[in-house]
Formats: sequence, structure tokens, C-alpha cells
Amino acid sequence: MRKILLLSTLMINLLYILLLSGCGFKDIDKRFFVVGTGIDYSGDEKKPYRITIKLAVPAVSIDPGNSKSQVETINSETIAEGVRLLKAQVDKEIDFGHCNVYLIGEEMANRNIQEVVYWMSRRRDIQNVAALGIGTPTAEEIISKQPTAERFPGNSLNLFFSHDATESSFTYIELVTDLFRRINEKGLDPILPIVEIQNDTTYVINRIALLNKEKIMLILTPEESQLFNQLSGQLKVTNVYGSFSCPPYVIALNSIKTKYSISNGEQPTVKMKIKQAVTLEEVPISETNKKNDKKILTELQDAYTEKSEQLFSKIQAAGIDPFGFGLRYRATYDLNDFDENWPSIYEKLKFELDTSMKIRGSGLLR
Amino acid sequence: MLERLKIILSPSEDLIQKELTHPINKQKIELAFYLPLVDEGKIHNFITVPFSKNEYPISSLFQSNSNFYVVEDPASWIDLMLRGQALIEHQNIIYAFDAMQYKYNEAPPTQVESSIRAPQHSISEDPTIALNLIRNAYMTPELTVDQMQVGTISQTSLYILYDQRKVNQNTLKNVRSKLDAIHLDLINSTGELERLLSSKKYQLFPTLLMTERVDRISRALSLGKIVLLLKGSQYALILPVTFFDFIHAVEDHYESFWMTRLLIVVRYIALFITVSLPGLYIAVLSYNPEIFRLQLAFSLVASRSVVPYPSFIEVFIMLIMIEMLLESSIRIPRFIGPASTTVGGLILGSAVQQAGLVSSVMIIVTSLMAISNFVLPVYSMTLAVRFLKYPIIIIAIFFGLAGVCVGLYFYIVYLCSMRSFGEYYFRIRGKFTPQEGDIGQAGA
Repeated sequence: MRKILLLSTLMINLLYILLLSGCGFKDIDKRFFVVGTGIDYSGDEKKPYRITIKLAVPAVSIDPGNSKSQVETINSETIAEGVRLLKAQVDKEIDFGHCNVYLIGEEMANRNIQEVVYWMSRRRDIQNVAALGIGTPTAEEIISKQPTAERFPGNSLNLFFSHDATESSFTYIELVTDLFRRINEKGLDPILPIVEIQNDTTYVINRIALLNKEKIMLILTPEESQLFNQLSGQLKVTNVYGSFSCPPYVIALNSIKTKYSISNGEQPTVKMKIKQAVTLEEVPISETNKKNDKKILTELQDAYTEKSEQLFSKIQAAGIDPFGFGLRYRATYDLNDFDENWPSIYEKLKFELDTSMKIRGSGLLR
Repeated sequence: MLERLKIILSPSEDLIQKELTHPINKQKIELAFYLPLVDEGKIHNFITVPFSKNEYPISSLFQSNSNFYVVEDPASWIDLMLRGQALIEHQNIIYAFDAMQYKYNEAPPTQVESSIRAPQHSISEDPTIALNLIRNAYMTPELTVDQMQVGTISQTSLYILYDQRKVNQNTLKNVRSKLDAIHLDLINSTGELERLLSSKKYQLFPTLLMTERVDRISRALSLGKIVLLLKGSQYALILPVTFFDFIHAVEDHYESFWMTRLLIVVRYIALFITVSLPGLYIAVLSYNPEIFRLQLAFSLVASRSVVPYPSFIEVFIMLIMIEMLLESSIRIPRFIGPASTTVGGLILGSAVQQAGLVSSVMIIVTSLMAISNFVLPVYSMTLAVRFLKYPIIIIAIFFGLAGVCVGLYFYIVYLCSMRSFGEYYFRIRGKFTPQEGDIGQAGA
């Protein structure tokens, strides 16, 4: 009898619980997936943030050019408030869980990006592996753009920032975790890729913006961006193409390894060794023989060293440190009050580069 | 001879040792054989009947008939008896008589634990046939058979088989005392026995392995396990067992090494799928849709958008349907069985989806879950696992993905706390030494 009583109490309680629906419970078809977020400076001092979200409208058939999406925009005082206000404009729960691309408007990046990054790192449903970029001229324009050949909403931009599809040597991929670290770490400065619209149909991401902790200090040209990607070790095993104009040869880098040490003395110096394995891609047929190869190689090495040195000095002159020389210096030498003393050290830092290339055969039999 | 046999052989219920004395001429013969291994008719026709009729001196029969031959070396006695020979001593001469019989042809084919290239016969409901098969498969004198009766009305014979040398005596004692404690009027099947012998009433996993395969039984005996045979039941019980025995099929020893290892892995994957998939469906659909790729999320949304109810109602509709299908396929008479499968599985499945009661992904989930359930080779585990998904579903409704993980963790903790007749249930490898004892005393 007691047992039956106990069991029935349990059953009734369970029944009551079943009637209540928890607040976390939201079916997938009652959610709106955000596939792209842009945060711009609105120009209004009181409501500085202009938030753009692209919401995916799921369709049964997935064909090129068939993707549908809905774009919502709002100006607000804070980002969190803006998102909350946006909820009132849509009929389903907004879910950032699938949003892999967050763009910061160029104007915003020229002012301050910290607020945006802090908001992103705090929100539960924003993934730490989401990619970040700077939208030019505004993030809103990029986000609301609908590329013609897109298969489903937001996929195009998403694929640019993933390692699954295109792997361009010009594109630098920056994730939320890394950006957060770069903002907070002493001696390491943030980097962001710049997203533009090309021909009104698709995107192009081939420039890199270098920031101090807050705002853009320097924007690299596509060639410099590529070199930067190679030197910063972003691309490890993939083929990286580099052409050097002095002799009109094109080489493909199969692998690149950089190693450096900083010496501390009267003249602090960065001694960097760059080791590359290359294949010759474009060389006039008449010039290919063993003897000539060596000559070509020395020329290429010298050209590469020179270009890299130029890039380093350019970045140094801008007073930013995206390579993390400061961090390495902190790890190696004792320096009291880093913030005070490091800029002067960085200013007079000298770069000694040494490039060594090795030619690899392509493996083809002729 | 009989005295010597008593020393070298362990006493066993099926070892027949008789001393016959003729009432008139006071002649004596001694007779020893393993009952399940011999054809009793032959022994009657050639030994006991001529002996009792005393038509002509029995010694001349032994000497003249070529079926009898003299055994000189006592060391070969056991070997001969295990090969179905009867030993006869007459006037201090020992004769062997070939009365061997195999009962493979009388054994029914396996039905529940079928396999492709393993032996196809199962043990029989007739214990003599079953014992014949087991004795033939496990040919050592250490195999001991004890008999007892269970059920106050039915008085069903129960045979306890074990290897005298390898069995854990504590476990044997434990099993005996449990069997003695059974008070029941009728006992019809080993399944009933299984429930009576299980240490706890409300346990989630079986602690005895019910099997119909002779090769499984003989392997279990060689590992020092105890086998229970019930007269009139086609299934034997093996104990103690570990969880991993239930995932193990007999073919794992017969077929190509790498493929069978892969199949074992596949079985564990199937186990995971069948327990967690419906729960995961709810958790992912309603709490954590971000763990998929975007494409999959979109097609899920597209297939779900016609369904009016929340995901768990959808899951319950399909689960109830599949359970009914499985249950009805047992009860339905053989002749109309295929019809019910067609109606239930194909027509109802696609119709339910078209009617918008469930999404098409749910159909995939359900059928995958049902198929992977039956990948498990032992039926009692299949049944036990069939239940396990329901608590996971309930947890998933309220706590999402975290709930599913905690639920699975709970099952693992539960498995670790279980004991099968004093031995660890969730122990992968290694010997159990009684000195270590049963940590936590959860066993017995």
C-alpha cells in the first residue's frame, strides 16, 4: 500500500513537471539562426552602436542563388541592449550559435573595438571559434549583401573564414579567442582581416589591418598581407605562392618555418631564420639547369629577405607589435614596467633576417 | 575398479557406477559410464540383459564379441569413458565397450543467437541431449554435473555444471545457497530462474547470461563459470558474467581477426546510439542546435517546420509506435507476421511523416535506434538496453545535452557498482582474486 502511494505521488509529480515547459526549451524551428553580425559606428553619440544581423530563412531545396535571408538593423546605446531590441522585430528566438562571422565596421575599428570583443567573449551562445573581420566601408553593407551564387544564407562569408573551403594565402583568419588574447596580452597586438565587396557580387579578403590595442594603426597591401601571413606562421603546410619581380620567377612555398631570437644589449636585435622548401613554378625553360638553379635561389633568397625586412620596419614604424616580439622579450628578459620601457626598446629594435630556400622537385617524371 | 574411479574422478550426477550381482550364480560385474555420452539401449542389449539372463557365461561373451576389448592401462580409463565407452570389470579383467552416441541431429537449430559459420545446433529442452552435447564439447573429467529439484509442485530438474578445477568455490557456494532459498510452486523457464537469482529486484542490466549455444557454454565452462540447465527449457544460464560478455558474439573467435575486432567496436557504437540517440535528438533540437553544421541545422528546421508539437512529443509518438511494432511481431501468428511488418514499418512510417506528425529526420532516428538495438548479440542485453533510452529522454527534455551526458554517466556509475554473484560486473580484464575481496561489498 505504502509503495503504491509512493509511486503514485511520484507519478503525479512527474506529470506536473511534464506540464511545465522549461525556459531553455525552444524547438529548432522556433529559432532564427543568425548567420552574420555587423557592428558599426552609427555616428550618433548617444546611440553609438549600429547592429546588423542577417537571419537565415531555411529552405528545403539548397540550390545556388536560392538562399534567402532577412536583415535587421538597429541603433542602440549598448550592443546587448540592441540585440534585445532586435528580438522585438522578429517572430522567433534569435540564436547566435551558428553565427561564424562577426564584422566590425571600419569606422568602429578606427575608434575602439574593445567593447565589441568583450561583449562577444561574454555572451554564452557566441562561439569562441567565430571569425572576426573589418567590414569596409561599413559592416552593414557587407552583411546585407547577398552574393549571387550562394547556396544557403550566410554560407559564402562563412566559407571564406574556414579552413574547409578556400585557403588563400592572402586571407588572415582571426578568431574570437585569439583576438581576446591579443587585446589583453602585453606585447602582442591585434590583427584583423579586411572584408570588401568586389564587383557588387562577391567578397574579397586580401588585406590585413594591424591594430594597437584599440584601433587601426596600419593597413597592409595585399602583397604585404601575404608576406605577413607567411611570416606569422598562419599557413603551415599549404602551398603558398610568392612571386618576386626582380627576376621574373614564381616559386611555390611548400613549407615555411621561422625561428627567431632577440638579443638584449646596447642594440637589441631580432635574429630571424626563415627556412623554406620551394618548388619553382614559373621559370623560363632555357634557364633550368642545376647550375642556374643555385643562382636563381640566391637571388630569390635575397629578394625575400629584403621584402621581409621592409615589412618589419614598416610595422615597427607604426609602433605596433602583431608578431609578439614584446611578448617574447618579456618571456626572455627581466624588464620592470613593461608598458613604460618597451616602446623605446621596440623603436630601436634591429632586424637581421636570414632566408634559406631549398628546391624540392615536383615529383613529376618527364 | 569402482573404488579407483572414485578417487580419480570427481563425483558427478551423470557418472553412472554400478555393481551388478547375479542372484543365482553370484557372478559380479562392475559397470561405469557417463550417462549422457552413451546409448543406454546398447548397454542394455549387450551387457545388462545377457548378464541377467545368464544364457551363457558372461566372460565368454566379453571374449568372443569384438565390441568388447580388454583395457590394461588404468591411465586410459577416463579417456575412454569420456569418449562414450562403458567400462566393465569382470573377474579382475577390465573390458571397454563402445556405446558412444552423438546427439547433434536431435538438437534443434539455434533461433535467437543465430550465427553464420558457428555450430548451428542449440542445446535441447531434453537435458540428456543437452548434457550429451556439452560433454562432447567439453571433454574433461573435471566437468561436474550436480542435480537438484526446484519448484515444490513442478519438481523440475536443475543441473549445475562447472569445471571442478577452475570454478570459484565461493561463487559456487553462493549460487547453491541461492538455489536452495528458492521457494516457488512452479518453474517453467530459465528466465524465471534468472529473475529469482538476480541479486536485486530492480536492476537495469542482466547479471546472468541466458544462452542456447553449446559453444558459448563450453567456453564459459573453460573460464571457470557455472552453467545452469533446466529440464524443459531450451536456454542455459551462465554465471557470473561481466557486461562485456553480453557484447561478445561467438563468431568473434571464428572469423577473421581484424573484422571481428571492428565488429566489436561497431557493437559499442550501436549500444551508444540506441541508448542516447532519441535523447540527443531532443537535446540538440530544442536546447543546443549549434553543435551541428549549419547545413544540417537548416534541413532539420525544414523537416521540423511541418510538425505542430514539440520535439519530445514527436519522439514519444515514434517510440510508442516502434515498441508496439516489436511487441506485436512476437505475438502475431507466423503466417501474418510479414504483413504486419509491411503495414507497420513501411506504410505507417511514411504516412506518419507525410501527415506531418513527425519529421523525416525523426524517422531516421527511430529506425537507426531500432536497428542498432538488435546489433547486440545477446537477447537479454538487447531487452535491457531497449529500456535504457527512456530515462535519457526524460532527462533530455528537462536538461538538454548536459542531461544526456549526466544520464550516460549515471549508467556507467551504475554499471561499476554492479556485481554478478560477487564478481565485478564492469571489469574488462584481469583475474579476480578472492583476497582482494569485494570492494564496497555490493555483491552477493
